[in-house]
Amino acid sequence: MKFKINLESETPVFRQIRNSIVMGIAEGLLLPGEQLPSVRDLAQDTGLNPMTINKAYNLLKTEGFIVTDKRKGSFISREIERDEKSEADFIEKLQLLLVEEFILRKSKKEVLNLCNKLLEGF
Amino acid sequence: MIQYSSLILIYIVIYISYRSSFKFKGAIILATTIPLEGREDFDILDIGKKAELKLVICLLFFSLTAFSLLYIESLRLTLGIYFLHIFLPYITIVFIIKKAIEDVRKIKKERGWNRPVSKTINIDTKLSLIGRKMALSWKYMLIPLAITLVSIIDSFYYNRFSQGLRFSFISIQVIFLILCLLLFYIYKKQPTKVYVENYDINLKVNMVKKGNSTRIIFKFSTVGSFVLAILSLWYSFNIYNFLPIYIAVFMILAFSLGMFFIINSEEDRIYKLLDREEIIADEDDQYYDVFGYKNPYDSRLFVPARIGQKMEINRGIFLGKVYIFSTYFILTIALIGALVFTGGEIDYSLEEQGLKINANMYSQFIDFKDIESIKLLEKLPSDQVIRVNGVGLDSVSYGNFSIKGIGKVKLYYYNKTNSVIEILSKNETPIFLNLKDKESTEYLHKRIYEGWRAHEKN
Repeated sequence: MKFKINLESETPVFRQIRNSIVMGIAEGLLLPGEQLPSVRDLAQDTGLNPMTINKAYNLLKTEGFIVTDKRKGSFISREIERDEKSEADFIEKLQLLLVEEFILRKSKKEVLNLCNKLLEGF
Repeated sequence: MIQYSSLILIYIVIYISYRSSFKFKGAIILATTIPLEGREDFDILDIGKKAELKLVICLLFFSLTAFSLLYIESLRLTLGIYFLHIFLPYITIVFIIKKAIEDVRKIKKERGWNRPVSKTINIDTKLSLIGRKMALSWKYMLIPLAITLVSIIDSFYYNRFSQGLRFSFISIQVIFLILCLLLFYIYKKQPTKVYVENYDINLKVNMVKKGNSTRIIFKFSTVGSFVLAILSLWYSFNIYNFLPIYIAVFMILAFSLGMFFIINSEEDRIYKLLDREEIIADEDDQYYDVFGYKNPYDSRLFVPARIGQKMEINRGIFLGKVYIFSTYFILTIALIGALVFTGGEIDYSLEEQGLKINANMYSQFIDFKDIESIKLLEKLPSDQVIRVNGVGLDSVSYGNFSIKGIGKVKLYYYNKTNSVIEILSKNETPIFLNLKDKESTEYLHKRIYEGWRAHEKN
C-alpha cells in the first residue's frame, strides 16, 4: 500500500502513518495477516526517525490493528477487536463529531448521507 | 621519517579539504541543501560539529598508529602500513560522512525543508517489504570469504611460496576480498525509495539499484576469489612461477574495473527507467550519494563540490566515468605494485636435488646436476652493474642484471655484504648470491658446495 506523509501538516507524522495504515485496512489495501515493513527498514527507506515509526506501530498495536512478533515482524491483525474502554472513547469522539456536523447542517438526513458517502468503498 | 611526514601532510590536507563540508557553505551542509529557515538549526549544526570531531579523532588516531613506521625496518611492511594509513582513514571518513549526510537529510525531511515537489514523504509498505529481500543476503558473501580463507590456509600449510611471494599473493587476495565486501555493504544498505508514482517502475528501479548490484558483486567476488585460489595452486608445479602473480594483478584490476563498469551501466538503466516519469524524490537524494555527484542530465564534467575538494566529477556523464575509472585504475596499480613488486627478503633452501632460491618474482631452482662450478668471492667481479629487470634497492638487488665484462647475470645480492657466491651452470646465466652477512654467506657456500659434491659422487 502506498501513502504520503505531509510534512507541512499539523497532524504529527506518527499519527499520519497510523491513520494511513488504518485507512489501508479499511479500503482492503492491507489485508489481514499481511506483513508490514520493519521499523528499521521503513526508517531507512523514508529517512524518518525510527522512534517516529515505532510510535505509530505501537499505537496501531495498542489499538489492535496490528500484531507484532519480535522475530517475524509486524502483521495486520486477522481479527481486529476493540475493548470496552476504546469503544466508549470512540463513541464519545464520534458523537461529538456528529453533533458538530448536525449543528452545521441542521439535518439528520444530510449527516447520515455524508456518513454513508464516507463509508462507501469499505 | 619522510613517509611519516608525508602521511601527516596528507592528513592535514584531508582535514582542510573536508572541514568546510561540515559547515554551511551557502545553503549547503554535508551535501544537503537546507533552506534559509534551517541555517541556524541547532541539530544540523550539531551533526556537522560532531562529524568534524569524529574526523579529527580519526586522523589523530591514524597519526598515532603511523608512528610504527618509524620503527619498522622491512621495506615491504613499511609500504603496506603506509598504504593502509592512506586507505583506512579514507574508508573511515567515507563512513563518518555517510552517517552525517543521512542524519542531516533525516532532519531535513522531518522539518519539512524538502523542495516544494517533495514536501511529502512517499511510503510504499509493499515496496519496503520487498526491498529488504532485493539485496542478496550476507550469507552469499561467505562463499568468496571461505574460498579466500581456505586458499590462504592452504598456502601456509603446504608452504608452496617463498616468504615474500606468499605475502604478495595474500595481499592481492585480501585487497580483492575487502574491496568486494565494502562494495557489497554499500549497495546492500541502499534505501528502497519511491521515485515515481508507478509501483512497477519503483520496483524495477530498486531491483536494479539494490538487487542487481549485490548480485554482480557476489558473482565477481566469487569467481575472482576462486581464480586467485587456483592461481595460488600454480606454485605446486614450480614452472613459470613469475606468471601467477602477473595474472592475479591483471585479473583483479580487470575484475574491479569490470565490476564498477557493470554496476555503473546498471545505474544508467535506472535513469532510462525513470526518463518518462515524473520524479517525486528529492534531488539531494537522487543525485548526491556518498561517492559524490552523478547526474546524467547535467552535461558539466566538473561541478562545485559538496563534500571535500573545491570541485568534483559528475559520474553521470561519459567523460566523468572515464576520469573516475582511470583514477581508480592508477590508484589500484600503485597500491598493488607497491605491495607486490617491491623488494622482499631473499631466502634459500637446500634440497636433495639442488638449491631453491626464494626471491619474490625471481625465485628459481638450481639443479645440482647442471652446476659446473661454485666459487666464493669477496665482491662482484665488477662495480659496474646494470639492472635489466628486477629489484634494485639500497639494501638488496635481485633479478636480471648485467655486469661489465661478464654480461647477463642473475643476482640475489645483499649490497652491504662483503662476500658473494658465484654459481656457473650449464646453459644458464651466471648466478651471484649471498646473505645479509659474511659468515652466513660463507656457511651457505659450504653447504651448497657439499651438497653439489655429494650429488656428483652419487
